[in-house]
Amino acid sequence: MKPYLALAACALALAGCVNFGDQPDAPAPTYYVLDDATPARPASQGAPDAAPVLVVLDTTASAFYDADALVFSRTPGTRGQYQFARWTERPGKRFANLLRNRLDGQGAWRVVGAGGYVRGDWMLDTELVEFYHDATQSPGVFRLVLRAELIDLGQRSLIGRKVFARDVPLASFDAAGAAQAANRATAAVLDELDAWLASSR
Amino acid sequence: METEGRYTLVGTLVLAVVALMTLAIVWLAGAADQIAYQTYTIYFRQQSLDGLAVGSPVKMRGIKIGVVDSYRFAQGSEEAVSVTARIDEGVPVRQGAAAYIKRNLVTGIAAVEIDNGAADRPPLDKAPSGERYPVIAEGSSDIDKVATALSRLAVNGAQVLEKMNALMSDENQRAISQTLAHLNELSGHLAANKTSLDAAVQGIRDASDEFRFAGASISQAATRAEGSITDVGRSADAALREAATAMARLQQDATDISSRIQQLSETGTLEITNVSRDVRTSADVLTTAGQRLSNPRAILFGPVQQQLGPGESLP
Repeated sequence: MKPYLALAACALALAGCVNFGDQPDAPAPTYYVLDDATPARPASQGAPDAAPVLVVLDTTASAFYDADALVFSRTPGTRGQYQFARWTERPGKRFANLLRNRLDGQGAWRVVGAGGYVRGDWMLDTELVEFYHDATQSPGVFRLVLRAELIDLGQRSLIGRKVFARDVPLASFDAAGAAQAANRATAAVLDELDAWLASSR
Repeated sequence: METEGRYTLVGTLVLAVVALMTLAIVWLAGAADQIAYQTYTIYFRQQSLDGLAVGSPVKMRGIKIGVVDSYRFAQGSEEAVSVTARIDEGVPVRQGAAAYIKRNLVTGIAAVEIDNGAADRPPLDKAPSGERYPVIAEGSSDIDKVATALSRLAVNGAQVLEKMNALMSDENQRAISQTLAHLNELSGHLAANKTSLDAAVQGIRDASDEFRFAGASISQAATRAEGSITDVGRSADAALREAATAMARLQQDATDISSRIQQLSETGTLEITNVSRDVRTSADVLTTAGQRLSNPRAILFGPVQQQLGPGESLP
């Protein structure tokens, strides 16, 4: 039995050294950073102590969108993933961070994440309903649909709910153009969300 | 001749006597006219002038100081009698003097009595406007006051008699008679039950003694209890203070705990929400990874042409 066991161990060791995924001819994936395309504002002095505490939850999204791959749609009702383009962060997590940065820059809110240690006055819950490159036409548009809910934590009541939708044309019919359009769409939706929050105070 | 001589003497004497009488009258009348009087007017409105006549004396403190010169009903609406009195000028009638009728109860002869004013008052010597002489005010005599009191007493007595008469009506008399009969009957019963009453009284007396003894016992017990209650009260006071302090501390702790629980509830809810979302995201990631692993060929040899996105191409 011992020769068979030694042979099996050698086979397993050799199998671990084999790299089936090494495809020297395949292009390397490109990682894109989802960003707020609005020009950076000067740093705020911070919100005053009397400003309400706004708890911003992480943005949720469907499992297909909340992945590292960029999503496209060649025909209505279908979705696909770019094979050689990746997001550096999942869109849901990244969008929530961009949202907190935007609100922090205003100085009208004391923005916190849902860490569980701070009692908030209001809470903002967002969901990415659509987040993909509509490639039914060339070069297509990047479609972003965001649903937001503003909740009064003291009264446990819903202050308002709104859906923001934005289609941004692509500059080029590829993943790079889709990433740039996603950034502009994100900036536009953040602008609308910003105005809506200011009007809800 | 002798007879004629006597007539002459008698006639002479008669003439002499007549002359002397005339002289006396003239002398007396002249002397009377030489007496100095001061005339006053008195208006009597309340008092009767029965028994008063012209020449009736005017007295002050019982001494005649003048006479009534005349009287008449005064003109005007008031039913007053104006009496003019002449009073010796040497008698000082002062302002504030009052005159009243003083009547002898036996003879009924009346006189005007003047009650002079205070000694420091000025003399009454000026006539008011529209009057010829100074006016002495009308006063009231003691008799009048007594008469008034007697009159009121008579009226009150009449009322009392009327009420007594009403009280002693036939109906009340029958009621009183019945009451007396009942009292008589009651006294009869009491007399018949004297023995029972004596026993009852004795029982009450015994009960009173027992009650007194019981009172004394209660008093002693209360004295003892007072001391105990005082001690208990002191202990209870201290205990209550400690309890109040403990309750206040407990209330404060309860408030703090409630606040912390509320805070924990709020933050815990958010924390649970986040955890649940992370779990769901992790599940989604695992699902996606599982889907990718479900196509081993794509893992081993890369994507096929149909999986490529816009702008992507295979070498």
